[in-house]
Amino acid sequence: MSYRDDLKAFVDGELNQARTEEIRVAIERDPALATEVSELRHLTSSFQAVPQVEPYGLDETLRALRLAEPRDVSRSPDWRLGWRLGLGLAGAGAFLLMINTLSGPSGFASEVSDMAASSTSAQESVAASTIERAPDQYVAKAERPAANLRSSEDVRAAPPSAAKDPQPPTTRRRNEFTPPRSQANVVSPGAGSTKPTQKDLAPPLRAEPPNAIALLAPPKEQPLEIRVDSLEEAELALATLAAEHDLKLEPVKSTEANQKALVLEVPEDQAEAMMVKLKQLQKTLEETSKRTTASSRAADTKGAGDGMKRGQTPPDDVKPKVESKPGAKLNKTVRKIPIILVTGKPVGPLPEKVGNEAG
Amino acid sequence: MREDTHPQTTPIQARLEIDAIAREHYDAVFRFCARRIGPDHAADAAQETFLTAQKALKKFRGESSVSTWLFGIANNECRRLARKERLAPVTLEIDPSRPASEHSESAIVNRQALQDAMLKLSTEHRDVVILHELDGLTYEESAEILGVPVGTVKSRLHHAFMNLRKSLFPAGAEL
Repeated sequence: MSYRDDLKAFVDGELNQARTEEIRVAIERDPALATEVSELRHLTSSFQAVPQVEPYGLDETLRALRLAEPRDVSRSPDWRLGWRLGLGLAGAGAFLLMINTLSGPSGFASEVSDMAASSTSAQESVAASTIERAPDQYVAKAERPAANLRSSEDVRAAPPSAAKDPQPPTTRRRNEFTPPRSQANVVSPGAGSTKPTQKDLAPPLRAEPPNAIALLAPPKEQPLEIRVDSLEEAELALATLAAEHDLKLEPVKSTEANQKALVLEVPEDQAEAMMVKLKQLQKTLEETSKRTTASSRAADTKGAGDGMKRGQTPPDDVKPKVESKPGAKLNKTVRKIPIILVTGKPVGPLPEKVGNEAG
Repeated sequence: MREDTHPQTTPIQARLEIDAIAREHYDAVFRFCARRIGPDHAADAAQETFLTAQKALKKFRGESSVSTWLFGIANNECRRLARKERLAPVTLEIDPSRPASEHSESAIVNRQALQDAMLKLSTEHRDVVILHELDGLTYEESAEILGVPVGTVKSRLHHAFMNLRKSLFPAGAEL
């Protein structure tokens, strides 16, 4: 290979020691090569002098990243469940139709029909509870139309509160949970099937509109304590989780300097699923904290260039959102999940405001 | 910076990770895109780059640096967007409103002349010049992004600069 072929690599310092030395000697001997090298350096400087454009759009990109994937994942199981439920009900309906067609209005056929209807109602009730995943003991409905119905005629004859429901039972909205009949602390004034004792109703039920959801006080819940290296990073993780699910994450006053207390407001029907996610997040953060303590300390001392650094206040757009989403969850029972982030010293007493409240 | 992805990275960890990566590398990726498709489309390409990176984060094994990995994605996004929007190649004049440079004007080639000379290059030569001279990548990094051997990058750069010299220093290039 001629010296000329390697001149650009020579200027760029991309040659090995021996070849570099070889070319240096050749340049000293050959003025034409020296001129060429000079021009190449000239050109390289010209490129380096090209001005840089000012970037924009980081915030939009961060928002897009936050909103990117998890919703599809969370939606798909419900969609599949609804589809299966629809198929099941259609099958039950077809079965009933077949019985009626074959047997006519005999007593035996009516009996079978009633049994099938009961079975459908029970399936629906179980399916609804699966969809909602809400703890039965926390929620009661002022009137329970659908769970007591035994046939489509009953649906039409249901009380006004039930008739107002624009959704058929198979497509019931997520926030309309109908607890099973067997729950002892369910308040069902319309049905009158069970009578709760006063101690089950703490705080006592308010006078609710006919179709409103009444809330029973949940048992006292321990705050979720997460031990982390960096409060800000953990808060960011929680804020991300809250943003993914359109939830409200609110900081509350903490009595300890090494703690941060937060309350995550979760619709009751998502509370159990969210608790599972929070436990996973707790585990993740604590493991990450243990695993990265040494490396992160090294990174802190290194200074700039490491992206989101520990101890750094997250920018406004990733801080927990205090405002709730517009039009969100009206008349919907909300569970407040207290969370305490702890760093360094052991945790102190629970902050005053952190507790179980119902919205 | 992150060199490998833990096989059991949870979604939250991944989210924190991509968030940190975006904060650290957004400016470089934006400029990388702006040099190829212009500042008007650079933000779109940069956002697509990070969204693609978010999906591909699990597969990233840390064999290259994060920036090289992102530039590889950005390069594909820019090509895709350029095809879709029928964008003309952008070389140097990415922000005409800004002053030429801090360098002495006498020490550099006229910017318009340089841009004209760049536009005369083949796409392959132009790509490698932009990667090495403007993006500041090494031969190895450029080779990785283009998916060609290092020797090819070296050869293309050599020929590209020969052509640039012919355009800008006609007398010297005759040598």
